[in-house]
Amino acid sequence: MTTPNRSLASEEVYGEKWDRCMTDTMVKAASGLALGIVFSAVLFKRRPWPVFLGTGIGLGMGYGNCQNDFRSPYVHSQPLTLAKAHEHILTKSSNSG
Amino acid sequence: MLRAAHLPRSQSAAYNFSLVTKRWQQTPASPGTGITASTKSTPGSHTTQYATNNSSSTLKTQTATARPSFNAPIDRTNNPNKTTNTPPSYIPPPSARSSPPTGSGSSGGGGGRMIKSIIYGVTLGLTATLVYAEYENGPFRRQLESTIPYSSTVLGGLDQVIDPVFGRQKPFTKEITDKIPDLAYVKDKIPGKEQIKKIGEQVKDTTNNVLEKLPDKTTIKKAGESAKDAVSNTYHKLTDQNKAKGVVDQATNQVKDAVNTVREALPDTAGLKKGLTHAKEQVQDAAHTVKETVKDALPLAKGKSGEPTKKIGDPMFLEEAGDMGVPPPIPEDKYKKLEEEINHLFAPLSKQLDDALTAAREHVSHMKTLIENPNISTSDHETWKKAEHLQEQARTSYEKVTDTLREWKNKLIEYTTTTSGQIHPEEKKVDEKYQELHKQYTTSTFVKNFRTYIDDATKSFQKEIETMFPSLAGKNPTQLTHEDLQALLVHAHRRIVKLQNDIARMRVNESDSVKAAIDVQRADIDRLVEQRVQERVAKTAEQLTDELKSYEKNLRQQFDEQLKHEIVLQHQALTQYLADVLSRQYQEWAREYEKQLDNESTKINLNLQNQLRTTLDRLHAIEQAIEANYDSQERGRKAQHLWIQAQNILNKVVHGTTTENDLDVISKIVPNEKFVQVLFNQLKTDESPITNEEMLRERFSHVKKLCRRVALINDGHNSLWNYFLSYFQSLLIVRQRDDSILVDDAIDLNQLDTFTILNYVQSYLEHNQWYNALRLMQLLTGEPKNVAQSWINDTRNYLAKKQTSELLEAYSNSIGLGTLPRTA
Repeated sequence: MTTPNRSLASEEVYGEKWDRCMTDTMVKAASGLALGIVFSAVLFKRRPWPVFLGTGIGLGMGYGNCQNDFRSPYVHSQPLTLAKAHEHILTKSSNSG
Repeated sequence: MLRAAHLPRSQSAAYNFSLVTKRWQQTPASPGTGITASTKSTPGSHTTQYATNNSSSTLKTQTATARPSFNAPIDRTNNPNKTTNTPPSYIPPPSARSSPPTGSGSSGGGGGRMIKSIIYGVTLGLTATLVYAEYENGPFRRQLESTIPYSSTVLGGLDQVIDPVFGRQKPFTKEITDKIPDLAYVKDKIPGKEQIKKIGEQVKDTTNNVLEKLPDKTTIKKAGESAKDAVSNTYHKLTDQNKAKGVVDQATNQVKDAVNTVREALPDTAGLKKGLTHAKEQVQDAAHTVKETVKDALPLAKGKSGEPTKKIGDPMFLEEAGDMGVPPPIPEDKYKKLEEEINHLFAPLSKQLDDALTAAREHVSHMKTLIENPNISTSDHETWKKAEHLQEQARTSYEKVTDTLREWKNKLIEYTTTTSGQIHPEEKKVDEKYQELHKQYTTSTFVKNFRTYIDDATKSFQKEIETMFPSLAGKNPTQLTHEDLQALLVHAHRRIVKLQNDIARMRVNESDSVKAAIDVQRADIDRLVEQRVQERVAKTAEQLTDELKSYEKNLRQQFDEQLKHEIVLQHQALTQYLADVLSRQYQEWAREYEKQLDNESTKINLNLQNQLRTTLDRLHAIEQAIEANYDSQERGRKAQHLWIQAQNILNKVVHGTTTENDLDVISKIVPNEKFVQVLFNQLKTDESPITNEEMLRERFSHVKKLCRRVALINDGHNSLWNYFLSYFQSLLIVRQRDDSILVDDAIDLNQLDTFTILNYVQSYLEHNQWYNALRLMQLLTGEPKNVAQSWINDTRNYLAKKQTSELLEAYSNSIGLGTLPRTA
């Protein structure tokens, strides 16, 4: 169905975004956790708050990132595809008309 | 059919909708065109209805004026409502406010206005008539010129302006006027007959007046001859009675005296001659004057007859009038012959005359001597013989002379007749000589008988003596006695007295008779002279009249000739003019005829060409029909092939398995069809991914799920929370199967949202209404739109491809329809 070089179909973008988002968030959360753990372990005498902080930061970052990623159609490429579609339509119509 | 049930409330919706409509508008022509048109019209109508109903100009202006570029191409259908859309804000231009307030003029200028209007009207009328006359240049103009006095000048002036400008010329053929060119001048120049007659009569009168005073010279001659005759008669009379010598002599003397008196009574020859010449001169002068008067009376004609030709200066007098009384020329040879003969005769005649004259003279002289010699006696025979001989000689010579003279006279008469009066110069001499001869001869004949007279006288005397004195008769003179002598003397004295008485009586008688004779002769002469004069006058008058007549005739002839000449010239000029006019007419008619002929011939030509063209066209059409038939059959085959192939392609498209081969086959089938070429190009260059409907359907279900999941996400800044909410919503909203869209096309644009759209699309798809599905899908907004975008594109491409291939098939159908074999 889709070749690996082909641009994604728009419905899959959503799925892919979610995937990215999830992974990113998880990664960030994990890394935050880890950092929190590290920091709590190192700096903050095993208090739990850097862990949470780190996790929270990680989650938050991931969340923000995710959000940003989801908002991105209104920033770049998707409008271009619209325009391309427009052009496509226009050329098609000119060809056939 | 899809149409908007309600207006979109929001601006964006409207914008979206118009975008959608525009997009639909710009898709290739398809069976969906009707749908698009209806969608266009209906929203438009509803738009206007709403506008007019609400009379809210804001929305109307927003929709109508803000997007004029969109509305303008959309309105394909004639919408009666649209006409009311013409904004009533335009104030229509003021209608007919241009009527000038003529009637609203002040009342004071009404009268002046009337007058002005009248004047304008009149001038306008005049100008119009003049212009029309000028333009028409025909019967109307002529009529105008004939009725109105100065219009011809005005129109002529206009002509001078207009003709050079417009290049108008008077018609080529004028009417040939009935007026013949004027010959009057010629007629005037000819002197009338009355004039000529008058002049002739004048001449006649003058000549007659002259002639009345003219005596005749020949009368003189005649008078002389008559005088001679008279003389001879008297002489004869005298000789009958004269017996004695002295008496004879006296008688002769008396006769001579008488002759002299007669001659003196006659007019003087020299004076006559002078008078004659004078009269002749007078006649000539009169004739000359008459000629001059005639000449002056006749007018001179000078070049009024058109071009004066060089040949004729004075048509009346080509040359001087001939001399009056020029005798016709004598035939020269006859004249010469006569003259020769006359000359021939003259010499011998003159000699004869001379001989005769000498002979006569001799005789006379001899006789004279005899007579004068008182002592002559009868017995002197010698002398008498000599006398007789001489007389014989004279007689013979005289007879000879008379003969030759007769001949001469005849010749002379001939001569005079031929020369018409010219007298031979020798004639005079001959005449003179002859006269003298005649005279001498008469005397000689007279004195010839002298002897016989003497003898007779002596014999009678003797007889007398014997009778009276018989006694004395026988005696000799010496025997005579005194008484005898006395008796004789007495007798002699008595005799002498008696004789003297006789002589006296005779003398008286003779004088009386001579006088009477002279009177008679004079009367005769007078009568003769008169007669001769009259004759001569008559003859000269006749001659003159003849000459005058001839002159008149000559003149008349000349006049006639001149007139003829002039008339000939005029005739020539006329004929030339006529010939010119005729030739011009002929040329014009010939030209017209040729023009008509050309017209006719071109018409016929065109006709034939038309016919030819039509037949050729038919032929071509037939050929083309045949070829078209062949072509169409060919194309039918091709079309079938194409159709098959198109079907093939369509199926493949539908099922998503087109290959390049198929397309190439098509291009091979119909290499020349442009439409097919276009479609084929389109198909070939279509880069969209190959899909088919199933795939699209699958994808749609996926897309639908996703769209439901992100239904709440719109274009604004959405957070993840919104995503979660929309997901939650999607879980909660129950999928609703909505097939109503299939029944009722109306979409309430205000109530569109993702779920309804998706439902609609689902139902459409389930019924294979892909176009509607696509249209509706495009109405998605926000994130669902982004999600569905590629599906939409792919569907569009797929549909386009399908449409193209359907077109191809349809085209092949269209081609093939007419060419299917006509089987049942």
